[in-house]
Amino acid sequence: MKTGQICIGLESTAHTFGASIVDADGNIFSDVKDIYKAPKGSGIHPREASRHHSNIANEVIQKALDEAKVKYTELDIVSYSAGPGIGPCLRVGATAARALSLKLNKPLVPVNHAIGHIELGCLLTGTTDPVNLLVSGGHTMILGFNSGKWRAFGETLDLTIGQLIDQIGRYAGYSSPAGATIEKLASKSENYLRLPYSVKGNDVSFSGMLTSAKKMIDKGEKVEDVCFSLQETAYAMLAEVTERALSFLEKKEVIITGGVAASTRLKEMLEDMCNERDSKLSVIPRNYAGDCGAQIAWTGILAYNSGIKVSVDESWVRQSWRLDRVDVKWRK
Amino acid sequence: MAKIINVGAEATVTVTEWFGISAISKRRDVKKYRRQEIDEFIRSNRTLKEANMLNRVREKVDVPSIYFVDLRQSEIIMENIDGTKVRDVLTKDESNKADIGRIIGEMVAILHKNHIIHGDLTTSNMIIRKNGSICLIDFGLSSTSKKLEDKGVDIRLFKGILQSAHNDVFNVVFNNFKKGYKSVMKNSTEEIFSIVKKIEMRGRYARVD
Repeated sequence: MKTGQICIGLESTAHTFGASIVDADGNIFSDVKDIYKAPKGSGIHPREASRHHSNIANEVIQKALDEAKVKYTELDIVSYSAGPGIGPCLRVGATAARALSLKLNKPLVPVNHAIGHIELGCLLTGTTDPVNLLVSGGHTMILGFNSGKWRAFGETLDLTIGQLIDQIGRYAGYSSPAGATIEKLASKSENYLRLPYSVKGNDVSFSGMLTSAKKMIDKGEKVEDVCFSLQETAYAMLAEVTERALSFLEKKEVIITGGVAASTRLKEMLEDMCNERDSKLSVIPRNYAGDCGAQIAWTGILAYNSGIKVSVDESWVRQSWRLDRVDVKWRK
Repeated sequence: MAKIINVGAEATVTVTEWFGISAISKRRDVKKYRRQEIDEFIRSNRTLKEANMLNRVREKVDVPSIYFVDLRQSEIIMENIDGTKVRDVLTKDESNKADIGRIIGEMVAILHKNHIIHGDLTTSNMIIRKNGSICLIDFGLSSTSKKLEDKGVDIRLFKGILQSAHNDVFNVVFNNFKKGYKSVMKNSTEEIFSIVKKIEMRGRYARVD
């Protein structure tokens, strides 16, 4: 059934430990994940999250192989998320990947997690040369591909959109990731409270909005109203900078990737914007929007076939590894 | 029908006439994606800011002259600049990248010296006239500030657009930008450029090297 190269991808940058089996034609045979849940009102604790990952790693990997009906010995490539992310978490995935690579004597491929989000999005939506709005807990970037790299046209100057949502969620007493909760609360309100709208050129800034939103909660404004206003303002800012990128780069495609791509309201706004510009909007399917093994496995195949691999001795993880520093040799 | 010459990210620009002179009309379009109250505030606020600032800087740097402002329509009627965007000139082999960088550097420094922050120094907001002068447009995101930090943010945006869209000519343009900037700003140049570095380091996952 499976003829081409088969790659296992391990994802462990933050709260998710994931494993996935993908082949060189882009078929995803399995994508298994287990998410560390922080206690209500607090964020990811690096030690606790990495402990979760090491407890669950075996089970997740085994399940990914079982669901794909692939044996260990049938694997051709082992890829892992090498950054950016939380050090202790990254090291769990890297350690598991090294063990697999050594045991099976198969090449080991480090993958940039953020590039993984983009490449998986392009694979699943058939998008070729988009403006990419990468929105998650770790990233808020507007990107375009140009001479060998994904270049940041604009990005957040402080918090990411995911942090903004999670932090306001936590402040209101919900557990992270809080995107779905916030969206649900927001849908119950139509009462807009003014929040700072901060677009600085091609960049956005969310820290002022977080402070204002917290103050509103302190003052006793309804949480539904605050969530509604937060979404309306923050997503409008993202739509604006994405439109700026479309216009400047003269492109006709937009893709939303990353965990916040699961937001219905964000999609709606971007759709309105794209329609008016005769541009096509694609959104990564919801079940692949958040961190997952498939983004690593697929990018692992692309990277390996353009000559990227690393020996176990020289393998590494990097907490800070900007995606615009990665040479993307598989793209023209 | 008015001829549309540019549908930018936030405004539609059409050719028009103003008491017999060729002019352009820049109208900030309604954005359906954002709520009406946000949209109206942003459009009128930026139009007002742009008109005020153009008026304020016109004797300091090359900017279009304003003929008429209609806040309710978020429309400005202004001089029709005959030239090519720096964005499009930088991709041509024959253009003089060093000169372009230097002239932009001087202009930005003159603004900064007067504590004016342009707020949107992208290469599509700079038009090279036939006589070589560079006209700076789109002051909708401008502000006034004495803080070196804000001047740094302004420069970082320009640097960022060079890195992402004009990577092949980044070094020559940015080095000459700094030379031009320094010729006006003198001693505080190094301090401002070191702040630019600091701002970059604040970026997500940025590394020291």
